[in-house]
Amino acid sequence: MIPIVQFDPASLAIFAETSTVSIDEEVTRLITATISGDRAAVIDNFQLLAGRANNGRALQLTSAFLHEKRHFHDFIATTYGAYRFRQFQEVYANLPAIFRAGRTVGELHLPLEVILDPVRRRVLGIDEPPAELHAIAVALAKRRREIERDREPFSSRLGTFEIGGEAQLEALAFTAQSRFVSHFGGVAAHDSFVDHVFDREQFQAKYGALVNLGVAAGIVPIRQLDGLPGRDDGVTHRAHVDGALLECAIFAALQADYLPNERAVPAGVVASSRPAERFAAIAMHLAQEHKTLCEKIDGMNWDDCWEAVDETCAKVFGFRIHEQIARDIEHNEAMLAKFRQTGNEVVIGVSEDFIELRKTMYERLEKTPARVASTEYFALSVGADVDPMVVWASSRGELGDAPEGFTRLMAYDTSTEGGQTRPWRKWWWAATARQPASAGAADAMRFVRPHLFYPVIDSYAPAAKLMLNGRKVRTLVGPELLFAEQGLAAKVGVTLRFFPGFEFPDDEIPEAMLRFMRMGGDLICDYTSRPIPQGEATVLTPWALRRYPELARYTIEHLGGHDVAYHTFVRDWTPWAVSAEMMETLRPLMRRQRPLGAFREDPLFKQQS
Amino acid sequence: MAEKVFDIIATSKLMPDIVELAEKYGIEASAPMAVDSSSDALDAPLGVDELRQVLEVVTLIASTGTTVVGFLAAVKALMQRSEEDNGREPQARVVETMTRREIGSVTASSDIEQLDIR
Repeated sequence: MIPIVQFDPASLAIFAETSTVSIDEEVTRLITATISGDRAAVIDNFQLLAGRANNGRALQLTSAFLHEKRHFHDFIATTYGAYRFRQFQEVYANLPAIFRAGRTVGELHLPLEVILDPVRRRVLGIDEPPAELHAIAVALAKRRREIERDREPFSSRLGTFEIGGEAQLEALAFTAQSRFVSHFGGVAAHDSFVDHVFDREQFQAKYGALVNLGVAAGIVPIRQLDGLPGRDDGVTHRAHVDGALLECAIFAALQADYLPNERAVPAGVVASSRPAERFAAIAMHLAQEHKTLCEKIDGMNWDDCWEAVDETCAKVFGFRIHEQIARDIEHNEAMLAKFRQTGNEVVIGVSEDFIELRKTMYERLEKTPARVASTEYFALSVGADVDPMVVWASSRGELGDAPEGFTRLMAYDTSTEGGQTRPWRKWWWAATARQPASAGAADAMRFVRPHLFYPVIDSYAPAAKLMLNGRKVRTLVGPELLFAEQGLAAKVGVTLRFFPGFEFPDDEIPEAMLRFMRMGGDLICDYTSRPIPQGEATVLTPWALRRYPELARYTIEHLGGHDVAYHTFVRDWTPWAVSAEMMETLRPLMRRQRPLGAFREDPLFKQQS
Repeated sequence: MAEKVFDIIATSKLMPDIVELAEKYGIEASAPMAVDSSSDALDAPLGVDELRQVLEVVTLIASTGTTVVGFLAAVKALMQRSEEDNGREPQARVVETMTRREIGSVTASSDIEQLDIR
């Protein structure tokens, strides 16, 4: 996995890898227009992209920002999104208690869940944890299991699908993205867009699953269109799929009920905290009770679809969509009251700002449902209703200061240490603009106090991920986890130990993926600087380069063995391509991994904010 | 004799049966735990990653290597009578817990004698 543009559920920020997305001026302008929701600029810049050779890549990159903006929108607009963010907020609020307990026993074993199990404790040679830590670990493990259960793939004669909350968020984001490209670029642009993916089959499985399921359930009418020109094989290659009812159903399914024990609802209705279950219940009810609407192939009216789904929710779950959201916001407020007891400005402020956005979104939904739930509205308005924070990341590290107007979030600076001036010792990995992207749009929803989210991005969120999953997390910025670890060690005085298997992220990158990301040009060996023939490259991930001490030392020597070489190695978190010939030399250096917990003590990983 | 500590990684569908088998062989088994992260970022389609399989891991402590061989033979028999929902071949990955050395994968057709149990 090579991070390009991602939405972080722990900080609600969009992360973009600068070196990958900044292909050229035209693409950068379209990306800027998309982020800021500037419709006129989007129209102008789409015209400039038409007819380019690498149109598909440019369209994928630019529209990815709209996709991620939609995720931000849905984390505010749905109870599932809010629930996912609460998972992290709870950890943020409990971090002092976790560290207190960690200091008592001298170290913390991660993911925290491992300390609950007597067999794993025996493997680690540790005693039962203090009661407070035990209780927190139980709560985190429970929530993690619930999320995993909702994500379990569902098998059918149409294939294996994931239809839980995360898949539903993806379906809405992808639909918005796809409509965005079609609307502003036309059919040709859309064809280039869907063709330019690394793996078409995976793409279909991930983003087409809910449409297939909707078709099978009978809530997505299909009208077959004529075959493509020039094709005479008798196969119809295009169909018009009306997804209005489906997207209303998905939006409603994402309003899961996380207060099942506090309900006072009439008998005969069901409560479900699982979006997958809710989706199935809604689809079945619609297919049975709204047959005429489900079979309408000459164009569905969006408001009719909304009304049918809203009524279905009232009948099946006992609450209309906005009522479900209102209950969840109340629940959020009750949590905020508990967070206030922490006295932590960040934990409290982030929760307050989040609730404020949820209330604004709720009011918009109550007044005009399409403005919030319709992916068409979102696409055509370039997502101008929301203004998420965008973190510009550079996994190779950019030397010097962050650009003018940006706040650096993850950086390193020992350039003046010892009274010397060594500019190669100063760089940044992540920075964010101080001014909101759509500063001109007064009613765009954005956090009132973005500065409170900076510490969330660079320390609270990575720390929470370490507690929940150890280092086995897909990172947004290469060094973020080590960054958090060192911060914790320095500020809190707790040694972190990782249970075997949770010490490193999954770090395999296929050669084909790296070639795809580098746009089909020659793949050059990062050690020999010679082109690597197709099928002969090995990709060494940043974690691989760091987890084998002998390989790390060899690489630094290869770079020159001096202070600049050492700091180049520390700075660079990009994957390295290696030729088959060079791997003969490197493979023997990859036999012994760095021992458990040794990262923190190793000077190779000293980093500073 | 030194204890053997190893992990088994398999789908959540197979895992309860694997844990039950371990107990039958007198092997201590941890509670299964999800392998994948619930904290991962949501990404866009450009570099679309594989549909996840929801894998779980258990850590097992056996008193002898012989017990491990007998247990893995029973796991192989389990694979022979199991089916995965997604049509993939049922399998259990076996990894030495502390060193992360890959011992091998047990499928319906594995040769247990060939697995590198030290």
